[in-house]
Amino acid sequence: MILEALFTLISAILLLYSVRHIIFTIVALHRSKTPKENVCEDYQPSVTVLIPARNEEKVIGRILKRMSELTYPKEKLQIIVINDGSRDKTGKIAEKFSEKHDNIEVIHRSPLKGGKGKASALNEGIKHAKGDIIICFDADYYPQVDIIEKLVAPLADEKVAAVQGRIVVINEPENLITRLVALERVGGYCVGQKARENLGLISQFGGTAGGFKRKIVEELGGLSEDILAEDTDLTFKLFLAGYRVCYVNEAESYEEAVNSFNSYWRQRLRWAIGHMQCALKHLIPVIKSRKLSLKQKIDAIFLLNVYFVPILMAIAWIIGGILVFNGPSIFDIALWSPIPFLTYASVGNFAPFFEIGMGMYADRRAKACKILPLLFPMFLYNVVICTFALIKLCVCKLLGRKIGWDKTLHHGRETVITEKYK
Amino acid sequence: MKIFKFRIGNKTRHKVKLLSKSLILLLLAAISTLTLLHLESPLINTNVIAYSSAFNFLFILTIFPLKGKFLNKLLTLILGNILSLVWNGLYPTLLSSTLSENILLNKFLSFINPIFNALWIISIWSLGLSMTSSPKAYAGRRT
Repeated sequence: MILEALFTLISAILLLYSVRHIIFTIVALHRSKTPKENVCEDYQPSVTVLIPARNEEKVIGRILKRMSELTYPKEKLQIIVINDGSRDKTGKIAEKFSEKHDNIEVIHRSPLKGGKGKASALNEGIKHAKGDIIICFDADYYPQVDIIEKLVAPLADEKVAAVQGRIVVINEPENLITRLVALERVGGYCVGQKARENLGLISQFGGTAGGFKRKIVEELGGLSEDILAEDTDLTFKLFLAGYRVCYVNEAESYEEAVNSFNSYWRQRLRWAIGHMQCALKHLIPVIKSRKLSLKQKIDAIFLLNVYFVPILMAIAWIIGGILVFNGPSIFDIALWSPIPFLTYASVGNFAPFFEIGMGMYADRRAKACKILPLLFPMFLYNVVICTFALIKLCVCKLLGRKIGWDKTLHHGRETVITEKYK
Repeated sequence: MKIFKFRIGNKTRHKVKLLSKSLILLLLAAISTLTLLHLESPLINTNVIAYSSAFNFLFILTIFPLKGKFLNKLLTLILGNILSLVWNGLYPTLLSSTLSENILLNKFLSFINPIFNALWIISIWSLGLSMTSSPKAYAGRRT
């Protein structure tokens, strides 16, 4: 009886998540354009681009070359590379670009001072920034030449404190993992973020290929260095302070997706722990907030708890198995039957299969959807990752230990960027 | 007195056309399900009806309104229904043959049946989606 009640409760939560994604999919498909109100295309504030880099010799040259090609007025653009205690040639490569281009600067952090995480490196960069707007790029990124114009335009609105562009996977054809990550990215950005923007919900600042107003973030105490998902933390800090984050689907930037199960584990574990830290920090303030509307509060609660979904799903599978193997009564089978289907509604970094599929369709790549069913093994992998993240977080909290930043390795592969795109 | 004239553009007309086609199909699927309910065939059971209805509902509402060859979509829809009929029609036969012999296997079959159904529904849905042609209006520009 207790098992059945728990099973029903978990199923109801999972169903609510699915309904949320159905709404997102419908909205993203039928409202194809981002609202243009408050978007000022002539707005050209001073901008500082921050590129934190730690042992990125394979990719730093590519992004700095791209930075020199940006169409934003050079006199209003400052580019800062934060060489975060690299032990390879990252600093030297960046210095070469700095000698050639007046607006590129390099900050060197010693190996002892550096390596404390992206937030720490960005905070260091903010200290040296002169621009009103800070735009962040990871070293493996390759943005569009006019991305700065697209990203700063919504910031003309006083209420918009941060902006986020779309991320496209650069090395998609490399292997099955990169293909599946590309699917996740399409679902998350083309549908999830787009729908949240159109519905006025919690658009998320992703920490890269996006930016924020320097003064506002400084007033809020900068980026949190004790949280692994400093981007999600900033998103909630801004919303709780009465500002909002704007998502711009047209501002695209390529990223190098993780290409092995090992890298996937390390990256997702960091995301999961960071997100869980944010949930613990912001859940109560979100519920109590008077600056968030009811729909924003509901979305915030869903968003903050998203990394607990795979764990709930695993519990549902275990209870489902127990019920079916102990019974099974018709009631047990009726309860168990929708669970595998609901599992598929939470795959792909928690974007369900229909959301990813429709995102691919909107992105004119519907043919790549054939591999969509293969997201299921990745979901199982995510179950293990999220469970491990929760255990690690609890142990570290109990022992009072700080969780270290685990950096994703980049190889500089560019299987997508052809001459056409250059 | 002002007279308002509503002009429907080609794009809207196309959308309405696709939507009405989908609704007609959905209606046909509902009628066929109701007809199946009255058939006393050993192949027709609650599972066939439940999973076929779920698939038809999902497929007709999401894939049919998208651009692409109508015949391809229809063939994929039929393929899904055949798969549902074969698996869910076969499954009780498997179950009844193992029931007296192996209770554990019977329970295992009850456990994996929804998993298998979810797998084929999503696979056929994805196949159907991959046969559509994407819209040209998407704003994404890679420079």
